[in-house]
Amino acid sequence: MISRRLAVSLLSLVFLVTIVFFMIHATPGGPAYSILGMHASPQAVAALNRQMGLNQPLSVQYAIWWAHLFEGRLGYSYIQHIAVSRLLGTYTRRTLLLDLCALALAVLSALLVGMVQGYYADRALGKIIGFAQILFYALPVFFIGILLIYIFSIRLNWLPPGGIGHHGGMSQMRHLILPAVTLALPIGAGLSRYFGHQARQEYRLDYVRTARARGFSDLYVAYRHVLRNAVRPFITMVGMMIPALFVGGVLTESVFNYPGLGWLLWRSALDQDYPTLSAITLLIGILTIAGNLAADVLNSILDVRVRYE
Amino acid sequence: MRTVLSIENLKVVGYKGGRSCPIIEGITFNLEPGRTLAVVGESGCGKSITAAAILGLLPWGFTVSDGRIVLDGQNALSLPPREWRQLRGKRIGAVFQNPLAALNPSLPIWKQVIESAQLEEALTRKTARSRALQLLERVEVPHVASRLDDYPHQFSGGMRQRVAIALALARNPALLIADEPTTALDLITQAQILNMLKRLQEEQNLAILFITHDLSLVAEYADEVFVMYAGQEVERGSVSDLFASVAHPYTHALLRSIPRLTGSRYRLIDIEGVPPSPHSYTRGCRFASRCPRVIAACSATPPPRLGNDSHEAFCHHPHRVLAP
Amino acid sequence: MASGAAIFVILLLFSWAGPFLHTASPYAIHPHLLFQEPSWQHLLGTDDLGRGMLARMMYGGRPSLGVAMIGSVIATLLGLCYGMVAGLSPSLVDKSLMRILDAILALPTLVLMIFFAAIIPLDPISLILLLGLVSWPGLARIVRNEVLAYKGRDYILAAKQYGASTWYLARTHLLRSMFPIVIVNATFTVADLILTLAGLSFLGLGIQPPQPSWGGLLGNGSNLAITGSWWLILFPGIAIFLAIMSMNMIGQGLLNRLEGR
Repeated sequence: MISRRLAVSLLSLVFLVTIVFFMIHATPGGPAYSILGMHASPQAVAALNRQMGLNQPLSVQYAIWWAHLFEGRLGYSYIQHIAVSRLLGTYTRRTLLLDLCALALAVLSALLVGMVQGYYADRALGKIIGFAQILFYALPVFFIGILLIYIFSIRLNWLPPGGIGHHGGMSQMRHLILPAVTLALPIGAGLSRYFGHQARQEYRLDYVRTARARGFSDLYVAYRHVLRNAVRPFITMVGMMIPALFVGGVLTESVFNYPGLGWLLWRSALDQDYPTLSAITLLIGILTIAGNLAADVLNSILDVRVRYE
Repeated sequence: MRTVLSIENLKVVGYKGGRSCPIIEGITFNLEPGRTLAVVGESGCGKSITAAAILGLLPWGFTVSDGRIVLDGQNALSLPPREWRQLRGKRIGAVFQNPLAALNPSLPIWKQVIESAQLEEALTRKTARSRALQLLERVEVPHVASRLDDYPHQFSGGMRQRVAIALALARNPALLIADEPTTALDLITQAQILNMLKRLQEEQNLAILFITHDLSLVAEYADEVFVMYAGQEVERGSVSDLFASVAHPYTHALLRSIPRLTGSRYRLIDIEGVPPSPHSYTRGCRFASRCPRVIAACSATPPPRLGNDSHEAFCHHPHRVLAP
Repeated sequence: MASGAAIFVILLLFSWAGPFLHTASPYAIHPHLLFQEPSWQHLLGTDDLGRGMLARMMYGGRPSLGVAMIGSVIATLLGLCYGMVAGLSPSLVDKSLMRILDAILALPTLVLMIFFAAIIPLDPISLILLLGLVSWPGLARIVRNEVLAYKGRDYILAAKQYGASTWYLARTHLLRSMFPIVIVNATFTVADLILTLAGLSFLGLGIQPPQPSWGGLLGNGSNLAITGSWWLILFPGIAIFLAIMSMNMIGQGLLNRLEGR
């Protein structure tokens, strides 16, 4: 099972690298123009082509492309004037910080809301929560983001509308709040809908009645019994949300001008900074594929343990 | 003798879509220490709702609208929910029909057995385990020392029901509500568990409210019988009196029909039809539409009470005339 | 489902029939009417160049909905073909086609879209092709599983015994029986593509200004948020939200009906 998943992930990776390679070659004028810019002289282009092996057959270039990737040579950004590989570290760290905060927020709120929804399933509160989930799930992140900026930054002036603040400390925290909430909302809505359903199923089972008949308080029954059983399939679901997290992160970072990988992807797409663009596409792609794989492996490990028990 | 539980004129109504209808009404009985009262009737006649009302665990949409539930001399209905909750487990234990789902699947059994004790006092792991061992030995789980760390799914249905009984009796309650405790089990296991309950009852002077559809078990394990139909009492009496002279046609039909060996839903084989739904309850006898001895008066007026305190029935046209 | 369909029809009418009632040009610049709040003269206000938001919202609906709908048709056709080929092929071919599909499904589509959008010319036609090309794999898997499920049914086996060719079977029996599930999936795909296209346009990588689109209008509004022009944010945002939600409601309604709930 795990080896099959690993093979599929590798295949995805090969696809990704190949797609990016061919797309870069499909750009008007080929990669040299995209590196040197549209106004480069033919001599400069020819020189670069020779230097980069671009006058070789496509198959040789493809091999060179792979070799460069393995060496971590991702090209040079003529817009940012820096080797792409040196850009990535900082941006990746910022993205992971934002995405992890958002995921933690989404998971915690999903657990809380889901338990309340499961407990009040047949009553008005449960139905209201269900409606709110559908609403938030259909709200695009960029719309949520801009609404939050308008309300909390422009009207109320409570929180910064974007950027990243000084490294470390309160300023950075304050800059993280709005993007993290924005990214967490639709993901939390999706997760809590699933978990609410799960909790509701658990609440219907007889062991809950047994626990209540023993005089345990509703709160105790909720966290000691229901949560414990409902949370296991939920972990699978959290894993499945990881790609959505990266994708939502791209849009969120762009809305908030939060300089992470997604923002850099957006900026380099607008600036047609192809070396950076292809490197970021590859990196986010690899992160997503790795996230998928990690979730699957975690699941199958949990699954084995369940079966063993 | 002091009663452990006394139900007086209990009425439960259910609400659905803004309308309410009575689910059970006029339920009255007493239960004394060391005695077993069997509540008998088909599926859907209100037995389990009665049990849930006594536990204070009616499902959402149901409420007690009239009557008293007197536990240890105090009316549970007038207690704040928190205090009523604290009676559960401590004064009343309960086991339910489906033992396969009655235990938390993700906790080892010893942790579940000892849970209520641990909420009261801090126990070391060692004392907790030895106390769990004692509790499980009391319900005759074989090889219990080696099975403390097992999970519920590693136990058979009968063993799980024993564990469920251990949970219910962990804090030595005075009353055990057993809602069809053996319906899902095979006949041999059923007898073993009922005999064990009987032993525990004698040891601890436990009162048992035994809810069942199977009259054949009642003669052997109960002291008193309370027959319900469509949310009402139809016949009540001590086992000896009632079985000696069954008066109500419904009790008669129950006695004559042979229960299936397993399965939770059960119907009378002799008599066509099913109990009426609460929406269609009428003023007259609710059994009239299915009754083989129906007469004109049955559907017109409520059946009169016949007999005396040791054996009573509500019927226009009984099999036997009961002495007042 | 009925309310979802009603909302979507209203959005379609607003975009295609609306300009006949409200005849203002979405491109006409009025320097003396910048940032007008919604009023009776300008129902949805005006933008930073004095263009009427009502007209821009109407004309913006056309690419926002149209590109997504046509893109969904392309995706559906592609998914149908791939799924049918996989399902009807010998087991080894089927297995490899499905592994390839797994690999494609693991790719982050929005990221690839942004990458493609930086390279291709951004006109509606190429956006339709792009959206269609990226969003077929989900359906392909469903179709393939359906084909496998139908392959074993008695009437298919019977038809085979009478010598019916594989392609004849695919045309007559399979397509007909798969029609409902394909339609449900296409509905959800439209919702997804509306969202994706709006996201791309919001980022400036979709429908290009001055041509209006809901995502582009929202992007413009968010750049101008500092001016406090809430109407430039709220109206396009709500339009996108309603379009996605109504399509999801239709899809869910169809699905419930299909499953006989």
